[in-house]
Amino acid sequence: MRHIDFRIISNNLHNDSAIKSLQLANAYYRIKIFYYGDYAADKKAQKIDANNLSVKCTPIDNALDLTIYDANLIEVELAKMASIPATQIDQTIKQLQIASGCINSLQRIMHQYF
Amino acid sequence: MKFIDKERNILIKLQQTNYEMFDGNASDAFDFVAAQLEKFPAYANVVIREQIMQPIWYARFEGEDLRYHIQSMDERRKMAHDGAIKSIDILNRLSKNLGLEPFADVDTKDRHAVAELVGQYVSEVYNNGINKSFDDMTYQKEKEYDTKAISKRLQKAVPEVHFDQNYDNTGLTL
Repeated sequence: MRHIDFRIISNNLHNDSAIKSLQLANAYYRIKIFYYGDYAADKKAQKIDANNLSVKCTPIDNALDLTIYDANLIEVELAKMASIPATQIDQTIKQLQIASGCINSLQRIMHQYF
Repeated sequence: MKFIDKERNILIKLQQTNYEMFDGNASDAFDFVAAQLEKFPAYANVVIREQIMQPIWYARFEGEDLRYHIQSMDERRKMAHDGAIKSIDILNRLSKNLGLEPFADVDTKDRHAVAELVGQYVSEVYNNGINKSFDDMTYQKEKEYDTKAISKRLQKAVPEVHFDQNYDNTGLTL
C-alpha cells in the first residue's frame, strides 16, 4: 500500500486554547485537524470524541479535493468529473493514486493522534 | 437572523476576542469555521445528485448493479448527513462559547429537521449569491483598503511591474 507522507507543520493539541489543532502538509495537501475539547484528558482516557473532530483539507495544484469526516470516513471528490475526456484519463489516474497515498498516510496519523 | 449574519457575527466575535479560542491563530479560526460550513453544501450536493441519478439508475441498471449504485449513494448520503449534524453541533457550541445565539435552533437528534435546515441554509446562500445582494462586510472591507496598501502588496507580489512612485488610483503605471 502506497504512502505519501505528511510533515507535521504545527501541533497545538496540548495548548490551552478551547480548540486545538494539528496541521499537516505535503506537496499535494494542507490539512488542519481540529479538536474542540480537552484533547489531553480525552486522549489520556482513550476517549477521543469523534464529534469534537473536524478537518479542513486544502488541495494544492491539481490534487483532488478530499472530504474528511473522520479517519475512517474519507471521500475523494469526483463530482465535477462524472465524465472526463479521454485525454485526461492518465492524469486522473495519477491524481487518484496521489490521493490514495495521501489518505493512507493521513489515516495513520489520525489513528495515532485521535 | 439570516445564516449569513450568524456567520458574520461569529467572525466578528472571534476577531474581537483576538482568536483566543484558537490561541490567537486567526488562520486556524477561519479554517475551522469554513470546515463546518462546507459540510452543508456537501450534504445538499449528495441529496441533489441522488435525486438526479436515481431515475437514471433505475432505467439503466437492474439487479446487483442497481443495488450497488443505490447502496453507495445511501452510504454517502448518511456520511454527509452525519457530517452536517456534527457541524451544526460544533457551530452551536462555538456560538454559545462566544456569547452568541445558536447558529441553528434545531434538535440535531432529529435527522429530518437537520436535513430541512441544511436545505434552508443552502437556499439562503444560493439566493443571496444569485441576487447579487451586496454584502455589507465586503463593502466596508473594500472601503477600508487604501490604494497605497494595495500598490505595495502588488509591488511585492509582482516586482517586474513598474510602479509609479506618485501613486495614481491603481498604483500601477502600465
